[in-house]
Amino acid sequence: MTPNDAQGPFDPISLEIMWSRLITITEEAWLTIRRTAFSLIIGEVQDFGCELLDAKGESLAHSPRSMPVFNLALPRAVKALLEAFPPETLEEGDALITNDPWLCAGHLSDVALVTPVFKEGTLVGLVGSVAHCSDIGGTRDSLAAREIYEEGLQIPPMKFYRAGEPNHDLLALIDRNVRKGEMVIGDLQAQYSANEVGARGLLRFMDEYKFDDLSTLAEVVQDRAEAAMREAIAALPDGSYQQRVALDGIGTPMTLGVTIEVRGDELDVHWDAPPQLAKGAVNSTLNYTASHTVYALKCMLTPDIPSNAGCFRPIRVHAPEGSILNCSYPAAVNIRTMTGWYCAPALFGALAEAMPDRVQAFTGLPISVSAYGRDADGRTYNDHLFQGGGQGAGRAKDGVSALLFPTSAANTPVELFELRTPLLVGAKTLIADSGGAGERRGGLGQRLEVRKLFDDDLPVQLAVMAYNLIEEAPGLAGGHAGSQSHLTLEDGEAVTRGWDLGTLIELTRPQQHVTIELPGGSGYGDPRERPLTAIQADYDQGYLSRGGLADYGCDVDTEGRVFRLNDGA
Amino acid sequence: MTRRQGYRIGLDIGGTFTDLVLADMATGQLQRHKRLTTPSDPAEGALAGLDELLSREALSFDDLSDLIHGTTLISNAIIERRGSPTALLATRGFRDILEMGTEQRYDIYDLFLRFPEPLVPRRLRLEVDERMTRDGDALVPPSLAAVEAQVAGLVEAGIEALAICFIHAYRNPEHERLVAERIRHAFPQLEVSVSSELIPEIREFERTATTVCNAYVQPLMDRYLQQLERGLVERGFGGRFYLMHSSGGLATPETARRFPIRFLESGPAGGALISAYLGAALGTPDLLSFDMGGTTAKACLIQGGRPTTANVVEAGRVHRFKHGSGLPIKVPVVDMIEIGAGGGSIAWRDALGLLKVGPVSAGADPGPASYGLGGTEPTVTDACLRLGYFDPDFFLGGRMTLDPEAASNALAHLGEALDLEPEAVAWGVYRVVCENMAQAARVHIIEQGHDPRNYQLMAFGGAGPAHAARVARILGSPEVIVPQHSGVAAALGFLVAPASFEFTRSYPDEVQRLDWGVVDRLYQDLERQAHAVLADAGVSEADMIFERLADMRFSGQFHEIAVPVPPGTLSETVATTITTSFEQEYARLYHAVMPGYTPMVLNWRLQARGPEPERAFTLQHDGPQPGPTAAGGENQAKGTRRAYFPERGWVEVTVFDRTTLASGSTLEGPVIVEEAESTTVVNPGDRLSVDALGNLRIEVEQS
Repeated sequence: MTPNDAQGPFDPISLEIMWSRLITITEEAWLTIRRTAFSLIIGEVQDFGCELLDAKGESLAHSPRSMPVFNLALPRAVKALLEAFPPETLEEGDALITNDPWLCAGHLSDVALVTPVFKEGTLVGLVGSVAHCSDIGGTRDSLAAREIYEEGLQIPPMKFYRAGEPNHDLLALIDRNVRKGEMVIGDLQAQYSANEVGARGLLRFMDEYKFDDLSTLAEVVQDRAEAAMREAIAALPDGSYQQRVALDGIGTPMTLGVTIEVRGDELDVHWDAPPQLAKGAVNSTLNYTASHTVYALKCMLTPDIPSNAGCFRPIRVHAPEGSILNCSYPAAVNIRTMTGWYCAPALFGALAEAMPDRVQAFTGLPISVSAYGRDADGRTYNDHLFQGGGQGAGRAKDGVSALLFPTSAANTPVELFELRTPLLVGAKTLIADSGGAGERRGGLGQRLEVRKLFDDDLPVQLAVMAYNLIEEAPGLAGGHAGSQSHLTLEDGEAVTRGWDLGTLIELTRPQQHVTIELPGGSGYGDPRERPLTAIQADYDQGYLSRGGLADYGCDVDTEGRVFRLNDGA
Repeated sequence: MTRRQGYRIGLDIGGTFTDLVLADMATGQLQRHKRLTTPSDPAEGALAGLDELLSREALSFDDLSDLIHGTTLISNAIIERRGSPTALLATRGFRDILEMGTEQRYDIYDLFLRFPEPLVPRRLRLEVDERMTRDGDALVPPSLAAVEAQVAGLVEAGIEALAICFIHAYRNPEHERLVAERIRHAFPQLEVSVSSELIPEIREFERTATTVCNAYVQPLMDRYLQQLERGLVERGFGGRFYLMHSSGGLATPETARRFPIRFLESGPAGGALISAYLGAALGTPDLLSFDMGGTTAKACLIQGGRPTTANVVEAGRVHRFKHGSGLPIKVPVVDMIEIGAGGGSIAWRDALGLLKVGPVSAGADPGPASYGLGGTEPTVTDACLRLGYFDPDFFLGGRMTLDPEAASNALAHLGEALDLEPEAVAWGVYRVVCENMAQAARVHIIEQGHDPRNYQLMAFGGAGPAHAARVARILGSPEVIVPQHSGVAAALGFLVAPASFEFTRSYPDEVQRLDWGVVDRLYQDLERQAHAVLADAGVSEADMIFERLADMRFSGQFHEIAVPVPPGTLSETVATTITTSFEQEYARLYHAVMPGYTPMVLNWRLQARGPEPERAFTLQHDGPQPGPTAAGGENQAKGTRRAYFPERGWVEVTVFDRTTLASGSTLEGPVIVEEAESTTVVNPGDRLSVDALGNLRIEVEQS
């Protein structure tokens, strides 16, 4: 026979070419946001993701650099938007928007902006993004919020653009309801531009391949991804896998439980969680819980498969209605990361024995500090200082020090943060002994020191979201916990710590020093199994102090040589 | 003309080969020479290559006016960690910036990512009690005596190089300057790199990483240059000696010693330059330079006769083709995309059952299956052989024989996994690799706001001409140009490079708040520096060209667009000029106008260069001149062979020897043209012609 493309349009060669093309289109959209955004949280920290969807709102591809939870949340938002605006009511030049936490990504700051793409008058697909805007109005004291009404502007499914014209009413409303409106609207404009770039890319692709619609291609790529996920699930022994994790709650510890039921090539995740809280904003919507759940499962099961709707078909996520992992309207939800970010470690723990080389011990969670105020010129500033904890160790590898997880964000460069806010970051440094001991050591956490730059009586509000202030996270397979977080405000003699600080700190004088210690990653395996050479290296580099050697049953002689103490010594 | 101005040599030391091109300034004639690189001591191979070429041409070192040199020394040293023991002095509280990096995971689903080890281990990263504010006010001045004591300890510990990077030093370099001065005085043997001298730009991690990389390779560059210069002097060389830097210009060895990191990508820059030069000669100042070798394909956009440049590049990646897995180096570089698609790239079946090609390469050893050196996995070269594009007995001009059976077996094996016939696999491999390159090139062009269909492809490298016409067809590009001497393109590019250097200064502010007196003084200062560097490189004052650029964005954004700044004394009126240019460019790139947003400038750049060499060499056809054979179809074919093209299936295709093709010839595709360095494949529907300068021109049929 002669070589030929014509064994169907989707032989392994054509499909490879078209599939990578879809991913490239999302990458082009992603770059556009990165280059045109205005806030540190989107432009620099990259708290956003872009996605390409078929006409039904099912995901085809997402940008390789993309906030993981948005990859599931956005398709859900798109379906809700299509329900509110059925395809026959849409026209070219429309763009849809919502930040409904139950329809999208779990809090009002995450805004979905979605552009329907038409070819000869027919809806052929959608391009969209979710991005974390720098402000959405409402209280900055999240712990005080009782209902979502206090958390800022709610945008139900609406049109952001109508037939190519901006919805000026909505823009005016947003501008008036958020802090530093021009920054928020500039970022929304960046999302809109990115959709335009993506839509052009999609139409160019369809023209080249002479596609009138994407339905056949969508079916093939989604089915292939689904088959890969089913194969990976089927490789897990049938059964029930459980784990419980402890978290801080809002100063009073609570626990989340998970049961993973594996049956054949499908999997159900059942969350067991306390009732939603009436006050404190740590409630997670089911969308948010499910997004974190499938993300962690995908990392373990099919890390190499490009993600699309098919990946998630064999997975169902359940949480009791009215619980903290499936809260009901109008619960306050702003700091739902305080609960949702514990889903991944719970799932890793549950499957640690079934797939030991695919799991990671607890990773020290990132801490976000958003600084807000007016400078001496009367200009408003509002930006995020975002940094990572130590990565949890795996069976074959130490954790990386200071790495952002489960977010895919980058940290905020200190110089940029200082340029945009009148604060001084006095240190950003790794913390010795903070990595959980283990045969594989957890990554180190980091310490930041922040204070006001000028002695000018102008107040600076710091909204701080910290985790693991009271609960530590044990390692896997005998590994130790990484260090906890520490949050301290020193004001001369007066020292306030941890939860007593709340989530909103107001600074008025440079003498007030805030110290933020991010948690270390937890270890994997018995620390006594760690090779002495690795312990020596950690000691030489200052990752371990002499005191920290005790966790490994070691000490150091006067020459600086690490040696093992006798067992029981 | 004195004898001393007779000859110039371009010398490119690559990972495998050292290429030399000799240009006779009197006649414009070129002579080429190629030899194996001597990796343990690249200077040795370079000097031997020069000896060989000169003695072959019966010339002496005394006949050389210029020697222009590019090398992969720096980038290899970073990949292979062959730099010197290096220490870092950082602001109190910030020594771990280097290790923490951006804290970002470059693959969101991989729980076990690896990152490059920092070039300076933690125990050699010391903190200095000093601090500048964002406005450049000294909050804590450094104690120089204490610093000297700290560094004495480091020297004791055996360091050879030191990087100094303090917070906000781009705004006020005073603390860095004071500390560097003290250290240079106290420890003259130590190589010292200072962030504000090297890269005075905001973002502490990138600035620290760049400064550390520079320090790390400084002793290596110095030793290497010493060796080379000594060898040259011993041989009687009295001409000018330049190095090619990463953004496509020449600099003196003194500059290379101070800023070796700016010489990270010197070879690829040469390739882009020759494309620009030839393009200009052909009246096509906008084109895509396309270079495909054994491991990678590289593409660079040539705009207005100059390669486009970027100001950051990644070095020493853990995964060569994964963005974010390397060290960010903030230096001006020719803006090059590189993908893992070369002749040696291996084809494989992924977990979804799709056919993938690369980025893993079989390299030269064991190489493609058809090399018969033990490789069993099918590569792009094997696919080309199976498709009839390559002649098994005339690969690399017959220097190597290929084994068609080994290629077929390897393809058949993969075919079983994919449920495809070997021939279908061969076509699939070829098609996927061409699509990969086209896709990367398309993104690169679109990102800069241009339309790929407006760009011709200038193809070179061992594998470029065999794939370019197909890549062009996918891109919708109208024409492919295959120049002569494509095997030594980089070295040739060195001969057309001007002396040049780029200087940058941060003075960020909104356009309407800028103090133009400050900008004016800043440019006077930069131009004074540039003047000295160019004069040093032998450029006369009248020949110096200065171009000013402002990196602009809307206030609050993070990505800048470079906008031209007028020459001469600057005043308020310039504000409107640069704002208009910026807003136009922004609308073109992002399809958006932003009324009410405030434009600002972040960095001020000065690109300083000398004239392009007046007569680098003569562009002329090495083959037959127009004559009786030129009237179409009368060229003597070398033979025919069966080759596959999806438009026609298997056909008997005519094969020509490039050296016998006369200027003015035209041939209808499919046709194959062979030469010692590469094979050019012309697809059905395309038309090949040979222009007066000897370039192969393929007019690409638009689908």
